[in-house]
Amino acid sequence: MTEDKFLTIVAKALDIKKNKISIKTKIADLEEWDSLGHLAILSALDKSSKKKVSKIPKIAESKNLQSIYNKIKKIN
Amino acid sequence: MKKIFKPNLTTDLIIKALKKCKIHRKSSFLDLGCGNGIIGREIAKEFNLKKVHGSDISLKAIKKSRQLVKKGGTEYLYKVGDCLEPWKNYKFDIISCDVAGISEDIASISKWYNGVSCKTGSSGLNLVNRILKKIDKFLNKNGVFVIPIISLCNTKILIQNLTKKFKKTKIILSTDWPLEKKILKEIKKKELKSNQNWKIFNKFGISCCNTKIMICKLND
Repeated sequence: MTEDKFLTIVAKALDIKKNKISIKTKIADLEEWDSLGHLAILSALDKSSKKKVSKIPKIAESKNLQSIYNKIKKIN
Repeated sequence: MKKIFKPNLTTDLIIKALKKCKIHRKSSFLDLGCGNGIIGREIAKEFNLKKVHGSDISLKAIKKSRQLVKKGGTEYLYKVGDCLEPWKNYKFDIISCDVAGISEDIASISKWYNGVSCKTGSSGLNLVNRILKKIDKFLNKNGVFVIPIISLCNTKILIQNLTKKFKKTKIILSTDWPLEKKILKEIKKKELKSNQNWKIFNKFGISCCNTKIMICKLND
């Protein structure tokens, strides 16, 4: 998954414009990234990765996009 | 003190679902369990509705709904009352149902209904079942009923009741949401057992629940 595609999925999951986020965005930076948004991001990434994301241990503990993206990159 | 139920994820999902329905200016619309009236106002704005009806068991909620109405092309009629009771002799094209629909066992340990009426019983279906019993009398021939199915009620019985009552049912939205850790802790502490088919499941290591929105039609 490219970084661009990753950010597109995240923005869509949070229902925000893509230019509002970057790979450096942290959970505290966005009002929309609350616990529900966190679940929405992971669910959307899981769907697009054919359920691979749900198999990544402790993926939900990642609190910034870089960390989530790095973990996803490792499984691809 | 009786408070007004705050709009939540279920309310948002009902609004999203209603926006997908075929509604036109002259559609007669009832917002059941309207709280502060947000659903009615949003749908009126989306479809330029001529008239919106809303009811809630809380007088305070109805007063708030009336307060929040903005002057425009929509007439609003709000009534206080239990379930469908205020709407005797009325028929609607669309009824949305946002009355309490989760197990009272769980509601009582959460802050969601703090001070707001939630006499839903252990199954979470006491209010919804009362509505379902009479719903056909309040819907026009091609009427549509929009209802949330929250995994913290007896979803199996609710879906059974809905499919028995309506000719056509369809889930059009489904969202998983994280359950507050405090509630989960209380459930464990009180050893509440899911003997009412309510479901809490694990997703990415997070304890989650699910809300679906079902569209029900009396006829094809």
